[in-house]
Amino acid sequence: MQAQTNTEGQTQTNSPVPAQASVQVQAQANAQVQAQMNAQVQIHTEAQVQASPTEPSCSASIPTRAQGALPAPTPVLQGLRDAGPIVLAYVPLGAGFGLLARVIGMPTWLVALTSLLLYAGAGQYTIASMLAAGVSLPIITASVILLNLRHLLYSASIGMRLDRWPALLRWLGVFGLTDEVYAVASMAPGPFAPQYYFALAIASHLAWIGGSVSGAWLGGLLPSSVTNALAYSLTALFLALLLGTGQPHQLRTRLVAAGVAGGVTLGIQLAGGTNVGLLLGALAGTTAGWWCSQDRRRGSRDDGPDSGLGADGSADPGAGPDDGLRTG
Amino acid sequence: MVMALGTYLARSVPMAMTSRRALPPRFVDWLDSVAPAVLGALLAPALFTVNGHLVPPWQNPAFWAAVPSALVAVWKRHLALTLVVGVGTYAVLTWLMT
Repeated sequence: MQAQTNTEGQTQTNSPVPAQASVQVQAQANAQVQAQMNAQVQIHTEAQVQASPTEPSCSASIPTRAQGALPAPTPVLQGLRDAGPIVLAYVPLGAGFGLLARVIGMPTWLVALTSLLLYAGAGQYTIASMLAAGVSLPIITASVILLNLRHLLYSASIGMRLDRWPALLRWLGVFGLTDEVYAVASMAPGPFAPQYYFALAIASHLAWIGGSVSGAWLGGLLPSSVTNALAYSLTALFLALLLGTGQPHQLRTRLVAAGVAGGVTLGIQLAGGTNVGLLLGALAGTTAGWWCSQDRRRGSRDDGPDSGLGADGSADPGAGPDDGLRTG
Repeated sequence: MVMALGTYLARSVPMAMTSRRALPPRFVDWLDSVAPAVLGALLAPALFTVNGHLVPPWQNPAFWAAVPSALVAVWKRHLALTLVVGVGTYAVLTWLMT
C-alpha cells in the first residue's frame, strides 16, 4: 500500500472513470477477463501481472509504463491499490483453507479448482469442515448454496452501477463478487470503470487461489500466530469501510443499519442458523438503515448529492465528491 | 460444481435484474443501505464470537483491537492506517492475552 495522498493531502476519491470508459477500456478489460478465465498470470499487457499473491503491496510493483502514460492513478492502479487489504487477508485465509483441505485429504488440484470456481471463503471452509465431519455431499451442497445466498444482495446492489458495461463484462464481473470485493467496490464513488473493478477482483481472486494452493502445498510454513494476526486485517477493513467512508452526516444511518444487521446475524447464528444468519441479518439491517434514512429525509430534504439516482441513472451509494477513503 | 453454479447464480441474477432498468427510487434507497448492513453482519460475529461461540467482549482480543481501529477509521478516514492499527493491536493483544 503506497502513499497516494494528493497534493493537498485531501481525501482520496477513487478517481472514477464514468462514461468515457469505452472502447480502449473494454479492450483492456477483455484481456483481464480472459486472464481470469484462464487463471493465468501470463498476461503481459496489464498491470495485474504484478498482482501476484506474494505481493500485496500493489502500487510498488506497477510497471513504469503505466505510470508514465497517465498522470492520475489509472483505474487499474486504483483497483490494485484498493485490492491491497483484501490480498493481504486472502493469502493467509486461503492458505488456511488449503491446509485444512489437505489435512482432510482433498488433493491439491481439487483445492485449486474449488478456489477457482467456487471462490467463496466461508463456503469453502464449510465444505472442508463438513467433509471432515463426514456430512453427505447433498447436505454440504445445500448448506453452501444457502450460505452464499447473501450474495444476492451484493449483486442487486452492485448491478445498478454496472449499467454502462457490456453484458459480457457484467456477467463475468459478478463472478468475483465476494464479501470483501463487494464491500470495497461498493464504496468506490460513482459508476466505476470495468478496469477498476476487474483489477480489484482479479487481484483478490489470484490472492485467494495462490493462498489456498500454497497452503495445500506448503502446509503451515508461517506460524499460525502470524496468519491469525494477518487475517484480522479483514475485520479492520470492514471497520474502515463502515466508519471511514460515506458522508459523515450519514454515519448514524450506517450505524443503525450495521447495528441491526450485526445483532440479527449474531442472534440467528447463535441460535444455530449459521447458514442464513448473514443473509437475514443483512436484510434486516438494510431495511432498518433505509427506514432511518427515510425518516431523516422527511425531516429535511437536504440530504446531499448522494441520494437516489445519479445523473446517469445509476445509483451512487454514499458517493459524494469527497467521501472516499484514503488508501495511502 | 452445483455449489459453484448456485453461488454464481446468486452473484449474477440480481445484477441482471437491477442493471439497465429503471428501479423504484425507494428500492434504490433501500439498496443504499445494503453495504453498511452487510459490514455490520460480517463484523458482529468477528467481534463477539470465537469459533461460533459467544465470547465476552472483554476476553476477546478481536473486540479490543476493534476499538482503536474504529477510532482511527472515524477520525482519520484512512484505510491503510486503520489496517495497521487493527492488525498491530490484535497481534499484541493476542500475544498478551494468551
